Amino acid sequence: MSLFQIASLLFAILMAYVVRIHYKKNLISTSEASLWISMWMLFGFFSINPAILTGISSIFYFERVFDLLVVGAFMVLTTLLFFSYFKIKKMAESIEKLVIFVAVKNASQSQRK
Amino acid sequence: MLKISIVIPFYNERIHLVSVINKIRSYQKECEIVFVDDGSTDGSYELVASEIKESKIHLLQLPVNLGKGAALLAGCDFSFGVLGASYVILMDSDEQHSIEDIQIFLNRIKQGDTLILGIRDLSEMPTLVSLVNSFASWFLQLLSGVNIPDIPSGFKAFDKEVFKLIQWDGGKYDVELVIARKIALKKIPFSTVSIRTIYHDYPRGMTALDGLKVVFRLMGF
Repeated sequence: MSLFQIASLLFAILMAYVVRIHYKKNLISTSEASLWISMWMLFGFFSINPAILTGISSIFYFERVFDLLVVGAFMVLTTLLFFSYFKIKKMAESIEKLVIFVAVKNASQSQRK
Repeated sequence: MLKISIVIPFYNERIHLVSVINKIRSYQKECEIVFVDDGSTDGSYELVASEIKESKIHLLQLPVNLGKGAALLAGCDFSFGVLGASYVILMDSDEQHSIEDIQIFLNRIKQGDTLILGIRDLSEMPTLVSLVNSFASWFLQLLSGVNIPDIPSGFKAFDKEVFKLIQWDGGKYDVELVIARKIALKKIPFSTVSIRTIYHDYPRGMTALDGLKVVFRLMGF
């Protein structure tokens, strides 16, 4: 096993541990935790057995496994970024509506006094 | 009888607020005045609260700083929804708008104008600000065919119906760009009035660096 493979495996274990911490703090549901753990286990598995990806690489006409990994990683990151952007935007709008609602409500209450 | 409300948002404006309050008191007979604190941290809210005793001067407080757009929105919601205003006049709290110019807006409102935009003299602005300002108008005209001069001017007035059409969703200083875009794209009729150009010697509001923001905002991003 190469040094890079060992580092990748350790990284996968670390990330699985981070998922566990978030699960223990009730920040993510059981199904979410299962999904993330499975993803990191898969990542660890491919780190140890990169040869398995060679077949997949050839299906998509990638010459090297590394190219497949880079493209895959970019797709995952872009998807996460996309969903995070909309989630944050929606959350900001909700906070804004709430703050304005509270301000107007407080002012109208003091108006009645 | 028209019910008119003057909405003045502020954020950390201690140095100007007392002067603004003292000057604007003279409009109490004709208007309700709504100050909106946008989460100030320098004690501006407490200062205004201690200064105003009149029933026609109101004070709203946003618990956190959300930006000028949100503060204006809160002021408009309060004016139209709670006070039952038929018109609002928006103006800044940093004394870059002359309180005396409110009368010009009141006259236009009495004439029946539904959307009135305060326009400053570009030649009296700092060169870079004037350039960005002109660019914003030119770019919006390119997109919509409508020429709105002095887009960044926050001194404006509109009625409840217009508010429904131009209602924005929060935002920082670029709320003026968002409003201008809505006016232009929805082809809402507007009139303009000349207002005094006052600039302090410290940088506020729009700067030349906002050129890119102008492009993105006017395109709807």
